[in-house]
Amino acid sequence: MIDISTLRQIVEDIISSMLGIHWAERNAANMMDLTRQASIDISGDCSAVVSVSVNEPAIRQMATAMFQADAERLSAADLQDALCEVTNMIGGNVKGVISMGDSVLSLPRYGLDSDTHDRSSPIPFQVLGFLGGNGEALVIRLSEIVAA
Amino acid sequence: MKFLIVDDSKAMRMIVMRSLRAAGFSGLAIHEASNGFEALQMIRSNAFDLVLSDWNMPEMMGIDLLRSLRQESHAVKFGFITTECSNESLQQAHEAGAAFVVTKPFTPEKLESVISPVLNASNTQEALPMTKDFVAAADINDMPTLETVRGIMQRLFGPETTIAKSPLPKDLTGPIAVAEYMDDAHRMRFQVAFDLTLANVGGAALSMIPATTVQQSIREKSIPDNIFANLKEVMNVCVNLFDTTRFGRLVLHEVQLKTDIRTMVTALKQEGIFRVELARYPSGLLMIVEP
Repeated sequence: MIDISTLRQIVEDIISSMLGIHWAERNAANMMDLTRQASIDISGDCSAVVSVSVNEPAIRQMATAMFQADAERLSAADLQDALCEVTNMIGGNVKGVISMGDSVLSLPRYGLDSDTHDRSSPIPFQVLGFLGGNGEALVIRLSEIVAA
Repeated sequence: MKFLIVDDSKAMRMIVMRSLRAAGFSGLAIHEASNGFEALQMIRSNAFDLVLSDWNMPEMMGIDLLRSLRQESHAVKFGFITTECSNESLQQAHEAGAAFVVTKPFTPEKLESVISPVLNASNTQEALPMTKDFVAAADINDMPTLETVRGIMQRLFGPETTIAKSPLPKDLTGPIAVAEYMDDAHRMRFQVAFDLTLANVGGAALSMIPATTVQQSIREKSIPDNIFANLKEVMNVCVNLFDTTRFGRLVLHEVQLKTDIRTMVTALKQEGIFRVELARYPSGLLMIVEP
């Protein structure tokens, strides 16, 4: 299992420590216009889905930090790449905590993925939201972890 | 020097490149590949000093790239930078001949601590698969000094880390993390053991995982996978505890959790037991074990 504080630590290690982005944790229910999403599956001795949803300012800030380039110079592919890699890192670290070893991580999927929600419904998500000073919004959802 | 970075994420390749520069690796010629297959072609036609590869990639996974290279008897030094940190993955990596595994997220310091010992190795054999053909060393009399242990631990965990010689606690119990180091002839020369507290603390400190998380693991007599992955990196650096001039070179073979420690305790030498305390974490024991 993974508790919310461990999930928070994982996200903060990636967003704050590695990318140097400092967003404050806020209630995810209030975050709107999360038009970009990537998700990743963990399967094997346990199964779970991690999805990362962001708005336009957030994906641009993450990509700017990762590519060290002006936001205007980043292509759509760069933005997608940045979000997928952040999702990959969060998913991989979650897997490291919840799995006893015999599980695999999928490649990240990009795009609004209603399946991610449907597959886990009605099982509740663990949800974490982060808000930046310029309206950047990021929401991480972790489905319930299902043991094989 | 010439490095190859293999990752399907262009963003991550750029982060790795920046981190290498921040870690002090200068004058690097860095090449990039976006999957294992592309990397394989490049390695066949270029002499790289080090390959840094992601694990999970389309076309060809990092572990398959490494296995393909070793099947071709290619001895290029190879390390993973990946989110894959399960014990099973680490075992696969080391059996295939990886010199190290760094888990994402990472810092430039973390990269430097694992890459420098590999680059400084005298030949490329370090990256070849190590056999399990252990031969116990007969003449272990090169215990690291207190100053040596302090230097390595402070380099890893910061100047606030304190080290002191320690007696063997009467209540020492397993599980204990034991790292085995082998020489060029695949003979096991030394073992370094961390008690459960130091194993958790050492692994956690590299990723700044808080002490509360560590204490829960210690109570449960376990080491989470992500902390264990970091612990292997710590143990990799611990090879520098030893004066290797008599052996030519030592390499970390594997790190195991051992529950039955009775045999190990009898092999402990008093001069090889150190208490290590990292800032904001509980203290634990580092022990040099005669194989």
